[in-house]
Amino acid sequence: MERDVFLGRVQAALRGDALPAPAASAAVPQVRFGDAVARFVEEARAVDAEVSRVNSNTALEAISRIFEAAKEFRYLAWDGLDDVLPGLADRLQQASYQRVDATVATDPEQRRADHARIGVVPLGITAADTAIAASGSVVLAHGNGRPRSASLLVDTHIVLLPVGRIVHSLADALEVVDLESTSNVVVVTGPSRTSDIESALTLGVHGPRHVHILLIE
Amino acid sequence: MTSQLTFRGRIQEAFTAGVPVAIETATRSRYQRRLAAAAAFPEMEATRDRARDIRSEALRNLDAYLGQFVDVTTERGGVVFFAADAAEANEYITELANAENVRRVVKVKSMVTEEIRLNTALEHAGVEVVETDLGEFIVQLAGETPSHIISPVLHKNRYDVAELFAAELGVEYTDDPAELNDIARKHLRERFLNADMGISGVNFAVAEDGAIALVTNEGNGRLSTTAPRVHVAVMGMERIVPTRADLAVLLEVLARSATGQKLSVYSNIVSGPRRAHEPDGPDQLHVVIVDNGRSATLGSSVAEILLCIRCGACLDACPVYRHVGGHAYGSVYPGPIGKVVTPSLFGLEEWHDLPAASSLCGACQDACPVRIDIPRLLVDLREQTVGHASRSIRTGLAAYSRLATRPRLFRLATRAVALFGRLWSQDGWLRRLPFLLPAWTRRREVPAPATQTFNDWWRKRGA
Ligand code: SF4
Repeated sequence: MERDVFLGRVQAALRGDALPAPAASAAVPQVRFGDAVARFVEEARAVDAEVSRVNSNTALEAISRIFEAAKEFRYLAWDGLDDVLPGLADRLQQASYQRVDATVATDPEQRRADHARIGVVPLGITAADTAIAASGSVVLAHGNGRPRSASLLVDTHIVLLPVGRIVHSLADALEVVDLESTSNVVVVTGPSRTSDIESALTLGVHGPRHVHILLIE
Repeated sequence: MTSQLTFRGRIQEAFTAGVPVAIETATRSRYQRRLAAAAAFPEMEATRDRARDIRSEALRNLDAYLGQFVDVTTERGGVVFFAADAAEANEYITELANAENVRRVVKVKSMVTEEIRLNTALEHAGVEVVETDLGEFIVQLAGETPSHIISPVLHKNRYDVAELFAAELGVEYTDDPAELNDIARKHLRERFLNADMGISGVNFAVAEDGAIALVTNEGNGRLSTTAPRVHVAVMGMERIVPTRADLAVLLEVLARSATGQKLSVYSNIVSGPRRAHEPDGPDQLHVVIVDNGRSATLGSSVAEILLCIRCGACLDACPVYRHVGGHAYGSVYPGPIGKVVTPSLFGLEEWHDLPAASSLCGACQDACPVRIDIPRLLVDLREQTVGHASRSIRTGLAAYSRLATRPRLFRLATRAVALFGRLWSQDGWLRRLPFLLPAWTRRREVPAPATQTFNDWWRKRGA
């Protein structure tokens, strides 16, 4: 149906004035925590994310431990992680861990091949743009050099989070997001979960089973 | 949209199948969790008021917000199609699938695609459709329909799923939910990575950003809108919210009302197809905006139902839903919300018995995050139905009015009832009603009528 005809029908229906009038409610009170960092850690752990409080040295060790525990050497990652955690690329290279290119082609056949290559990589490293104290969530804006797969196809998702990026609420986090130059922003709150079978909680349905947040102070 | 059985027949079936126990437990526990979540969030009431206002503001200017949404989405590279009804939506999507040589579609659970029966249309066109929400996948594998809008397999237990997986997927029998989950994960992962098209619904469409928000806990929403080349988002035209700040409010309200979470695991915001230098994501984004009866609802006395954010809270709160489960309603929209949505979208003529099946207890309105006055809407639909009330009801009422306007006859009749109560009751209850009414006592007892009529009592008291 033509846009004008479609919207015309909507407009005609609205003339009936059958909807409740807005009650002009007061704005929702802004959430402000005394200690947003502590609150973030508490909330993230409550949704089964693992949170380690590290500095730039211990962060590198923490990452190595995760790789060793997973017995893996391949990983997906975002570009520019060295800006968040200097020395990371060197460190990973020294340990001869191998970053797998996450670029996916448009061509159907090539795309399938790319998926076959990327889909088997169990570790991914990203850096949160912001994080939300109220819900323990991390916000990831995808885009140039920032594949979605690094937080999606892997079993273990490692998120670098400089402590200064923690905000209080979802509203604060969305306010600074750029949706013009990026096609996808996701707010991640803990590992993938379901309660579909007999309401039994199960982690890691389609997304990562483990979300490991490295809170860099 | 009709099922073979009558409404009464479906309820009968729900009881014999033994469905209620599972549903009763699950709905009750989620209802409790939701209450606890609300109690732990002092701003909940103010937030609900705000959410209601956002939704009514969006609807009162729906044409303008839809226009704005479409303009911005198009600027970001999305393609928009306006579908007047189910047929137009299905035709557009199947033609697109053919043009793009799509062999397999992965789908995220969505009410509107159930409503328009998109899967059937695609399968007719030779396209394989895979539901990817774990519950919906199970329902699809079993050849059934969902019984709850946010947990589709509420009616099945782990043993049902175990047998189904063993039979249909050729895996070894296990009834451990974690192992069943792993089986589904592996099976579906392969499908995600080899699908040509992903189809999702839309939880909210943000007018100012031309963006759509898609909420899941499992991650299938992200996978279906990332891996395939083409992403088709199907949205009921009322899904709009004006601003990003409004989106923040509604995402929180939705998560709290649906499951008692502070936020769902993935709040996925999609704004156009992938940009030129992005490493992954779909190359095409199509947004199909569906009317299918909504503009008629918008102009009707039940327009308020369009505020609904499909959280499922009213289902869990409803004593009727808890007893009969979702299938008894015979529509893709069950429970209190379904009692209004179904007749308003698909015709009151055919669905007039749904609004009648309510005690108007108001539990749904209390639970509803956007405070929809469902009881009022049900009464409104009932009033519209009276025109087609059944003959037996009309004769019954006519008989009563004759009785009630003849004092002597009335006294005689009430005395007879009192006498009957004295003879038949046990401890003040009637176990079985005679004559035309035994159906009433098949599942419950009736308090016995007073052993003395009011008139007799009054006269004696005066003496
Ligand atoms: S009517 Fe209210 S409670 Fe029911 S699904 Fe819609 S928003 Fe939720």
